[in-house]
Amino acid sequence: MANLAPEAYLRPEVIRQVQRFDLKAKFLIEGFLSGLHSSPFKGFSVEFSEHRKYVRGDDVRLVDWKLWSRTNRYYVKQFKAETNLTGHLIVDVSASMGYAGQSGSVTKLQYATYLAAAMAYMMIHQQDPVGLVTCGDALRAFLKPKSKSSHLFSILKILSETQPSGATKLAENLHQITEMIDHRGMVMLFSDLLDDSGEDKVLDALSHLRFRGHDVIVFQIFDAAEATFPFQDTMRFEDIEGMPDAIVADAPAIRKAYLAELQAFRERYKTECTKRHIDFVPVDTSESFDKPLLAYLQRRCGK
Amino acid sequence: MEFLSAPLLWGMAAAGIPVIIHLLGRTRPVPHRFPAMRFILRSQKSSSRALKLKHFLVLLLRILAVVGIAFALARPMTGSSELSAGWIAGGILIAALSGIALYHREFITALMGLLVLAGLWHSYPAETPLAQQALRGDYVLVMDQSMSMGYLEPDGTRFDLARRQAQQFLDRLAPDARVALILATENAERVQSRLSYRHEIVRQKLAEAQPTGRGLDLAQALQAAQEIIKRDRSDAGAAILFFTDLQAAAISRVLMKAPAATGDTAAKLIVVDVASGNAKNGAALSGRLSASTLPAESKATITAKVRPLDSEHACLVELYVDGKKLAQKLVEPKGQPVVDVELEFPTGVAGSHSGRVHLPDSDRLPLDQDFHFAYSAGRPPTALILERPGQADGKGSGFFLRAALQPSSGEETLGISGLACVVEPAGALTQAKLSKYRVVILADCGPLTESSWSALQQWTSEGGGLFVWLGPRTDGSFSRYGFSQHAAYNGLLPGQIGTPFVLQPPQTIAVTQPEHPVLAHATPGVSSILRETPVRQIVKVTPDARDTTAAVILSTSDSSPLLLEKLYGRGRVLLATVDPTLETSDLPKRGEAFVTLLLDSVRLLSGEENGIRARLGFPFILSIPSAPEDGQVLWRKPGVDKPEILRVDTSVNLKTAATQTGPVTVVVPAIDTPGIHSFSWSPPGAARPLSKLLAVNAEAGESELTKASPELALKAMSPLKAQIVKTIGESTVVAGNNGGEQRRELSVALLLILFALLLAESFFSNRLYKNEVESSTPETTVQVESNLEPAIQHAPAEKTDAAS
Repeated sequence: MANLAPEAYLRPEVIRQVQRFDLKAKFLIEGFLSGLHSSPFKGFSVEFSEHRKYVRGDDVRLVDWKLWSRTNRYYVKQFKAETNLTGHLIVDVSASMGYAGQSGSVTKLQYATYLAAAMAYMMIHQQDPVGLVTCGDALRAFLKPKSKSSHLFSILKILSETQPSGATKLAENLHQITEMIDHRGMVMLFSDLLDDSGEDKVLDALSHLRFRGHDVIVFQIFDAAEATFPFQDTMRFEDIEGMPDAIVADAPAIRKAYLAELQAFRERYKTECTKRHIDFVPVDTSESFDKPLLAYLQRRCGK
Repeated sequence: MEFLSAPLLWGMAAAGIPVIIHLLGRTRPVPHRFPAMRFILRSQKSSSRALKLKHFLVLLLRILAVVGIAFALARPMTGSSELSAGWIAGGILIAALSGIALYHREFITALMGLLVLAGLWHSYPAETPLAQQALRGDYVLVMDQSMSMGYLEPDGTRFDLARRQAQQFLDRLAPDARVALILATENAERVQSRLSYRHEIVRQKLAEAQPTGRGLDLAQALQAAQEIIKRDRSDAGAAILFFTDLQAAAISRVLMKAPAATGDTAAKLIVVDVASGNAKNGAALSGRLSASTLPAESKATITAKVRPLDSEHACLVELYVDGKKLAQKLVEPKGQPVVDVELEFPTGVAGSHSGRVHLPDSDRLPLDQDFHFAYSAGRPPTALILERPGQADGKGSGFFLRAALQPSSGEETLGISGLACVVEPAGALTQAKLSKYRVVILADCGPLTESSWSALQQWTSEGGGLFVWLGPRTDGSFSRYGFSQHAAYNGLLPGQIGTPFVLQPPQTIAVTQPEHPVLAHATPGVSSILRETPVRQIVKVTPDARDTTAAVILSTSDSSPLLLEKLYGRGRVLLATVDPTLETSDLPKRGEAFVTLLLDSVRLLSGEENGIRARLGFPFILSIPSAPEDGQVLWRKPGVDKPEILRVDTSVNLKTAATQTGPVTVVVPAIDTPGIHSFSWSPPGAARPLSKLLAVNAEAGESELTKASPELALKAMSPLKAQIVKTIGESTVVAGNNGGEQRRELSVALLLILFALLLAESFFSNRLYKNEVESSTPETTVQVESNLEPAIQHAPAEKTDAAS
């Protein structure tokens, strides 16, 4: 699939939806302003930013009743908080992320880019710096976290121009990234988590991030074909990351077992991430990215 | 188990079709680059074994279905117990399949299985009224096909009566009764050699059968029937039905023999007697000609034995030669059952002739028993013995030869050899003189003139037999006529003739070619006498190995040739290197050996073939003097226009096939028709084909029509539980249904089971290939409305200003 222009990843409809959310750190953020970041909604030391129309799902506590009394319309108050919540977008750009099961559909990397764009926009919109790390069999690109609006385009430019290739060495890369990040912040990982070194290693690496105090969100991205295994014939499956042995299998016959394995894989990550206080968001490219994203944000902000 | 349509079992070969479809149907895997290989790898490990098993199961079901269809179409028959077992097993199988289908919620498959189960239940073998009335069990029908069965009773021939009863019996048989058929003569011909359900084949064979001119070997027929029952029986209730006219000749033949082993079969024997009480038949039983070769254009007499129809009244005996009645005589039996009658007839022109002695108003037997004979008219059966002048009264060579060939003194009297002998001193020989003789014997005769040799050469090449005895007084001029000495005579004598010499010590005789016709009839005693006979003096003869027409028959123990043979044109030359006198050897003293050797030699030279007789129902070997040009002999049977072609077997006649000369033998298959059989062939270079006639006569006893008493008949069949009846209905054994187990055709049940198998196949293949995606898709827990669904799938390229 041809690469899209960087701005194509910012969908106005999504932006409108996500900008009403504030991506807050769930844990204490390193630095003197860390308390500020989690306090704006409690009325201390916050700078009012603007009003916006109430939309369904908004907390009624945020409705400006005074304004309602004047205008007879519902507005909610938006606050602009001082923040030093640093976001890190870690995008897996290994060859497996370039998979698109159905001709014409988006690749997993493109899907990840959509998600990352939305998340980056949110961060920058709330004046939080956000950085980018892409990794495959090694670290590829690294953008320091910045909160300028133009930085968003830098991130998208890198992502849109990246060609997925190489094996997935996620665990190893996560360890490296963990060592590279100085301060606690928010780490958003976009990957299919199909690391040949095994789930344990990846979970160890995620634990490493958590150990350093980062707030970790894992977006596990699967293609629709991976998620449903819709193949009907006997297929010769070749590894997209270059594993030498191909597997000839009767797809309908192994479908059930495959899906069971996949489900077990996802369940494992879900369980283990929950244990480590990591947000685990399984998504697949068959559904529009805004659905799981908004659902997740709603869930997170509702906490 | 037997099959009503056994050839359809070849349809089982179609079992390969599912295999081929299976192999061809395996699609080539579509290559696909895929990220989540680890899950496929784990899934493959867990499901590949089950998948293979399912594939194998489906393939097996398909093969079973095809094999089962062929099996069912072949219409297998089996006994009730096996059938019931099969029924129950099939029912359990289908019930199990239906249960599995029900468990897997395949309701249609389960329902169809239950319907098949109901069909099986409904068609469970039961005794129908029709089946109860029909006859069951195993039956071997033995039809007497001997000559007497051709006797014309008021309702048809006896064979027709027997056939009618047999067919009525077949009508009463249940479809599960098995039948075999034997046509009995001297041989028991197993027409339907296995107990079979195919009654229609037995009917057809019965309809085609006709009485023959042959006799009946009762014991052999019953033995064959028992063997069939013993081999094919699977349960109790077998019976032999023997349709016969109980001829005394056949019964007495059995009684004279030791009783045959009956085996351990408990078969019942029902003898259906199809003969009426008082049947009589006259017949020409035998006849005797003075020789098989008679002088042309002269008179000959045949002495025949005839059995008049009635021993009290006169009986007319007729003689037909070449289809013309040439003589007849009224015979008064005077109470004698068999009377001799002499009939004189003209021998006709030179050539082969055939005749028969016939009793015109004797009987009601369509296959009348004439006496057939054949003879050749030609050169007078006379031998000319030329001996040294002045020795005719002494005990020279000619004396011993004539003594052996013609003991009596009368010149024209036939001797033991069938030849009249004329002894003359050697003199001038001419063609005219030689034409009066069939054999010329030169008994150490001294010199012959050149013209005499020329006449001999001409005479021999035209078919004469020359027997040359060399002795101490053999003229030196003989050496000129050896094979390589005189080109003009083309080597009339078989070898280069040398001088007489004395053997010191005396040598005995060694047989070089024991199978040669000269020695073939010799008894072991004659051969041993020859080996002990001392030879003191012989004439040196050196055979030429290059001459393929010559052969050494006898030699001395030191390998010097004693008796040599050479084929010369149509004739034959024998050369003895020892003089038949006591001076040179003890051969004349050894009467039996000397006379046998001499007689057989003269018979061979005279062209008289001794001992060729054909018996009805048996093959025989026909010997003809030269190989046919086209390798075939035409056999014309009496009353049949189209000849049968007999091939000369080159493997048997190797030497003749290589040289194209010399006698060959032809195997003639069993002759069933009495009468004159003609064999003709075309020798190389001959202007017209040569022929040989063979008279074949039915055996005298077969036309007698004397019925054996029931006691004697039962005694002859005593090892078996025999019962003599006039019609089958009288037989309590058969009427009692014979105790046989009911057999049923399995096809309906098999087809039902097959249907169930096909259902199972569809069920399994359905399970195997069913798409399970829907049920296995992970559940989506979050429901959020999306505005982007169409757009995100197709990644719009339009730019948005949201970012800016």
